[in-house]
Amino acid sequence: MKTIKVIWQGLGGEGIKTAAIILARTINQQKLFAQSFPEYGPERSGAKTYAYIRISDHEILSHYPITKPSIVVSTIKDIKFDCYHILATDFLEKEAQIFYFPAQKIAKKFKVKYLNLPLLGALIALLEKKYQLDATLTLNSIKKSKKINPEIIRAGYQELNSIL
Amino acid sequence: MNKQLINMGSLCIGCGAGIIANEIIKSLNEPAIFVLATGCLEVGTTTYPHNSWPYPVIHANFGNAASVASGIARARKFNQKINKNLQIIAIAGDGATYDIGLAALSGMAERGEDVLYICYNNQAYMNTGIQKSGATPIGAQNSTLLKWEVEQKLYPKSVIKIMLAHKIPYVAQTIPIFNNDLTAKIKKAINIKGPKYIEILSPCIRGWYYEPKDSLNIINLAVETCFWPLFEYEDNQLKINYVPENKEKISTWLKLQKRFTELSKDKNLIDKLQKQINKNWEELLKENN
Amino acid sequence: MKKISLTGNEAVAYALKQVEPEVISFYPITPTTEIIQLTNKYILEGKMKTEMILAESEHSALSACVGAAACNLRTVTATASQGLLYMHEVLTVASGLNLPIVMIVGNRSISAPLNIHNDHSDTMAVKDSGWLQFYAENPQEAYYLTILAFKITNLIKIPAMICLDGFITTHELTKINILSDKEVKNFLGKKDKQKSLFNFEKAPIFGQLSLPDSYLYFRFKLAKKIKKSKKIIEKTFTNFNQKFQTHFNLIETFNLTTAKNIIIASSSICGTIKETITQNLKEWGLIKITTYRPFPKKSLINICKNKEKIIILDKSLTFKGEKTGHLYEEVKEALFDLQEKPKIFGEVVGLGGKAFSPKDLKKLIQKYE
Repeated sequence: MKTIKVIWQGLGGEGIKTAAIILARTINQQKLFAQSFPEYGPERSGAKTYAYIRISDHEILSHYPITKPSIVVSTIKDIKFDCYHILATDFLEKEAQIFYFPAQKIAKKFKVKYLNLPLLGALIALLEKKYQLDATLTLNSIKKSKKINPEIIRAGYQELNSIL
Repeated sequence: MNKQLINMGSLCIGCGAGIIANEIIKSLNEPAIFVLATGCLEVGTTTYPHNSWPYPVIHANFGNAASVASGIARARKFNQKINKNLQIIAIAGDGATYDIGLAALSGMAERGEDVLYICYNNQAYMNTGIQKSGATPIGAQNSTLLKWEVEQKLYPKSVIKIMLAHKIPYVAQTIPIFNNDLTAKIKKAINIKGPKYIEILSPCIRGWYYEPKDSLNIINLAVETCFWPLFEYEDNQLKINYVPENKEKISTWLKLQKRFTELSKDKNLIDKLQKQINKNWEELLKENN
Repeated sequence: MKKISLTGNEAVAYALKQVEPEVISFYPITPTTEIIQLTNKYILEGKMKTEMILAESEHSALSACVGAAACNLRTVTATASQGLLYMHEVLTVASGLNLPIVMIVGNRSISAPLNIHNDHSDTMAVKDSGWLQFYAENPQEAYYLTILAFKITNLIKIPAMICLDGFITTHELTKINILSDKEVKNFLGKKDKQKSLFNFEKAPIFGQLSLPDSYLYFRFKLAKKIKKSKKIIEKTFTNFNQKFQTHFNLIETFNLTTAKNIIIASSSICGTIKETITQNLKEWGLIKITTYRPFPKKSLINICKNKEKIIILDKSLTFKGEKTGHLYEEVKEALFDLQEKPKIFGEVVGLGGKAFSPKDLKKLIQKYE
């Protein structure tokens, strides 16, 4: 299995690091290996932030920031790579490898501020369609907590699934 | 328990610090662990292979006696056999307290550590050659601040007031021998839980340049001139321990010490100093009532 | 044994929970603050009966450890970068007084300029302070080495630093094996009886003034102790490996049975190097330095004996007038007496968190082909 490489980019304070950790943790509970780590400067919020996620069927040894991603998830309209993109916008549309995804709409529906959970759902949908990730198992393993409402993730998954 | 420094090690004859250390030890009836900062007392009593102390002692660095003591204070609860009244006593000079160790002392006080911190104040870095410290009084001859500005503060900063600002249970100022004041304060402090600060004026025969025959006078006049009043604060409530019947002029104390030779020539400055001492004393009396 | 997902910081905190040191004394600094926030949480949840001292500076944090360790307690602190440098004068007191303190360092660059990201300049700046130094490649090793540190320091009575790369390892989430609480407690066993401030009959003294006729003996004694520690570390590693199927050694080798050329490095970069060697650099092997102090001179001589080229990757500068790092200097010195010396080159990479990818490694190798 070729290693799946995800870059998640946005601004500090948007919960990018949290979302990456949720995904990596749930994947690690399956027979796969996931690695996630953030990249940011000293600012607490507002500055460009990245989270890197690697998914593989064998132990991942490398620790460098991903340079050739398979998927980019982004809340800032930045298309640098030749790969799948999930971009947070206010409409739902597929354009070749780019998925415009209305994360804001879903966040509003659940009365939350952050777009990270809807986008996480969308990412899981894409990972299922293109990389055979067991989305059902993944979604079911995400536990509810103060910061995490699995329903929001599920809603994001369903939304992107509708155009996959 | 009554123990005593076995010998004064290599301390100077008539050293105030040595007298103070012995008075402290004689006032103890319970086990204690001493934390010494680098300075006269430490180097004079712990030169390998000798050790003058009848209690466990640790010396780490110059400015961290308060922090090392904090670590030991927290260690207490992990030893079942420890006497409930084990005293953790940090002893540091004025340099180690006013200057390099002030932050550590503040941290210890702020965290509420159960430590008795004693500052023996000989008013300069005496062990290394009489360098100015934050506690050096105006006009005192020293090897680093060679010329004092007339507008310089007449009194050094008050670590007593800094400790009061931390609202710790016991803050006191004392001096060896006089009225057994030091002994009484040690006995009181060791029965109080929490951070305690006692500052002791420590006459230094070499740095203050006085005659051995004047040793007692140096101590008595420091108190009788109200240059070094004896008082204590329990939970920030003041109690003055000694009120002189006839307050002496500061010049009588300065005259005994050659370190104040230049200062003594400056009548204007002496005047200012006397006024400041009077003012401080009046304020203290007022606060007492 | 169980598998869970933890970041490097979480793994260290988990290990501390299982070891349960009596005193933790700490001052927060990026990237290790999280370790103490997590242990604090464990304490509040009643999972650890540890005394937490929130010191007002790193200098005081380590000083409090010195006090507690002198009472024969297991003590820990965690820091990085400027904090580690701020403690420097206390580091030498800790080792000079033979106190088995454990410190976790999240390797971070040093000022100026200010940078919060990874390199090894902080621990390299204090490598000769008399502390043992171990480098963890990933969160798994950080977990195991934290536990090992308590065993090793108890046996040798010298303080130890466990180093993990700031952000790269401290903040990386990955799947790791964890031991059971019982396995950890059994492996650590009871503390040895040693000199303690709580011994009122003996009334010991820690830290005297020592004049020129005696000082040297104390320092040579410490140097000898560190030399002797090599065997004890190897023995402890072997013991741990047997019990828990791990592969700890003073150094780790990768692809060296046939490779004539070697890369020498330490910490997280070794993971990237291993993967790159497997994929496209099969004529190269790797030596990973796990134990930096004491320095594994003999092991290096044995392995480098018949090799052709060695490239040493450093994440620090010595500023001695060349663009070289500390590991380079020490390896060169170690191999100096070899009859037939391999060609030895040094490169400084990754300073201030600059990414080092397989592409960068390949470019570097090409330079020396």
